[in-house]
Amino acid sequence: MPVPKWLVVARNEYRIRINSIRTIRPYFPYLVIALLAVYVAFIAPAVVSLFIDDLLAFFLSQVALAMVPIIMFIIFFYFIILPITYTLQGMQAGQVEIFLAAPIKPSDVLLGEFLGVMPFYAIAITVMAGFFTAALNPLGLDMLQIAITVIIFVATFLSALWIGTVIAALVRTKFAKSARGRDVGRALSLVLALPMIAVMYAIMGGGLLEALADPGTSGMVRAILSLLPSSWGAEVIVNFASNPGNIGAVGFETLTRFGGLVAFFVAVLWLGTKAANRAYSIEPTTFTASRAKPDGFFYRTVRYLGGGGSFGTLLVSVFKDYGRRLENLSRIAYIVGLIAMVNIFFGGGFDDPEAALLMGLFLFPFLAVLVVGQVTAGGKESLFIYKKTPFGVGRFVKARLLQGWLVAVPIGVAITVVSMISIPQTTLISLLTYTGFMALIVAANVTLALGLSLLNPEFSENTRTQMFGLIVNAQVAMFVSLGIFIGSLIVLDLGFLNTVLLQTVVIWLLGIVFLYLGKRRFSRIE
Amino acid sequence: MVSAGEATVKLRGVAKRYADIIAVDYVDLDVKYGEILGLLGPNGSGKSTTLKMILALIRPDSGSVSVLGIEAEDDPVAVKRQVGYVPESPRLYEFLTGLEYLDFVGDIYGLDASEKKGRIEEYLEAMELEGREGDMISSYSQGMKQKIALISAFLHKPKLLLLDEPLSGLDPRSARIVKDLLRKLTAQGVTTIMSTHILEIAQAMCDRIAIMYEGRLLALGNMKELRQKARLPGSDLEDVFLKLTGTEDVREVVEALLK
Repeated sequence: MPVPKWLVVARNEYRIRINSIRTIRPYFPYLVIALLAVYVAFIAPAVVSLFIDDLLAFFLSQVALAMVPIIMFIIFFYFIILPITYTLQGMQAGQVEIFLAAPIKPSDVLLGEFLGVMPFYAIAITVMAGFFTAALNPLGLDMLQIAITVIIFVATFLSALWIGTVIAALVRTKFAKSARGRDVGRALSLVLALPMIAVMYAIMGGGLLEALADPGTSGMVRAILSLLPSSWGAEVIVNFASNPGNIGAVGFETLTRFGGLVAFFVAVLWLGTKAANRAYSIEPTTFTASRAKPDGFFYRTVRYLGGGGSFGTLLVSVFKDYGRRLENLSRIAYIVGLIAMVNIFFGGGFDDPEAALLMGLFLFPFLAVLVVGQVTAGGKESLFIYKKTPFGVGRFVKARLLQGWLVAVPIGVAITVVSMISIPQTTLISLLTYTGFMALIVAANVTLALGLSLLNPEFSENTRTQMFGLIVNAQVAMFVSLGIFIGSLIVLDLGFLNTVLLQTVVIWLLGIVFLYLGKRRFSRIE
Repeated sequence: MVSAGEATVKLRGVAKRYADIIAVDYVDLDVKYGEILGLLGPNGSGKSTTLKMILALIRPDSGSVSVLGIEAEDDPVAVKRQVGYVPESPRLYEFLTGLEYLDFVGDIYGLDASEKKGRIEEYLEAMELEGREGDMISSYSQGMKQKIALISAFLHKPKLLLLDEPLSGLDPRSARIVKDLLRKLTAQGVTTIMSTHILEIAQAMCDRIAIMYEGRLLALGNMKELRQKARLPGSDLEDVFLKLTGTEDVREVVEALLK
């Protein structure tokens, strides 16, 4: 008997996802199941027992009434955006063509893609459900309550995963057919996470927990979140915590909310299969060619800064290639957003300008890596343009360095100024001094980041692989900053200004050395 | 189903537009049972769009497409079951091995396990990929990827082959194998529509040639008929093609470049 088509697609999807561990592929499911069983039976209860009193107090508190729905909403949202982000990062319309050319219904493809990734998300669901049930168990929940709690996790997050899979397929159909569309997709994949980071920062440093202790605020948040299916299950869990072993006391609420959740799960499954025909299409969405305007004031200035001659043209080309990719702009938006959120949610505690600069100091290496860290990504072909010309590599490195400074330094300066002027103790002298230092530090970080990326080049066209290379370089750059900071301020007790001064000098020196080594390696790449 | 003497593919008044661009302009075409039809035309002339409409990958704005007696719009899955397709730039799953990919394609077409295994082995041997089937597709050369794409099109023994630049990236020996294979399949009654820019291949392999230009079907026939239409007796397909598409002024272009 032929294998059902959705199962063929699911098996294929699963094989692709576990490609990196193919040597242990036959044992992988058993290994995971065994580890999860150990986790649910021993690890989760042991971890929970360490702070069981706090957890029980939390579940029975006013805060839990709103906090559990918030936690469930965050996880629900993540389960929706994860498949979308994954798809946006590596979209290829050509692979959709493989399915569409075969005798298979789009709904089978959709279901197969969903089932193929489900085992990986099931691990996360088991970890969360295991933790919650371990935490609720000491209250005396009966078997039915525990079973419903587990089903709530499964139904809530599988609904989210299914919604995410359907949206991901629709998004791929919309964006994957053109280079511009794929660029938009990659740009979106990064900034999609920002709203949830904001919620987490609000919980961690924004006083959200304290605010939710107030019944009025808590009630308002609950009322808003109650519209979302993630909250229906959350309310059942909180009710169980208040009525352990007595499901009858909350029978009606359990029936309506749990029933609603199951109905929602079934409804989204049905709607998703109905949307499948739209989700798999290779009909071109646009035939409009992107046209560039003639060079304006900005590019004329850049060309002038590059000396006006052939190097000026090279610098402008590097700028255009960088600036016309939305993916690059989204990375800047991401890091600026991250720093802004840190200042908004944690900035209330800063009582002097120096403290306000700390986060920037640690995030500027990240900014530098995001701006110049992808110097080799997208294939070796573009590298040959430079390698085949006399002194091409040197001119290319110089152009990328200048471009990195011209992009990152103004952003670093703007972040520094905005962070400092919100602190009443900031004087004009301190503002100018630190802004100057920060500009130098950002420029040094750009030099270091460029050197690192030349030493550790990433030629993949895949966004996920590129991001991995970026993260490695960012970690190195951030540890350099962190190491100097801890060494000079905490170990040697040099004071903040001297620490900044030392950081400027050391990063510059390291940057020059790494840039030299990187350029040498880059010239020798075949 | 159709048999010898009948048309395997019938296009009637097929048109496709994208905004202001006419991709295919009311094309009528019959492709005979068991023939190799070459689909030629400059870039953007509508060849790939025509192939995709035959396979029901995209819908025509007007007109009808019938494949092996099945209306493509009414039952696209039934059409796809009978067709083997190689796209212009096949994007295979890079993180599967060649064998895993072919296994996947075989299952998609519903081949039973032993039949699938036998055919995969047979084609891997014919395409000289034996010993490399366990390697990741990402490590394959362009030609090897093209061979995998071709095998995946042949695997379910289709009655119609739609091949968009099938010999792209293949070395001369592999190209020869594919050409011989196509001839043998034709002898068994398989119909092939092949889009290509390599006119020598089209001239050598195709029973008839269709020339498309700006979405229209400019000419259709065997070499003799095309020469007559172009009024170029004794010329090769390149001269005929350039004459019919009105792009024969290449000498002036070359001379201008050399000035």
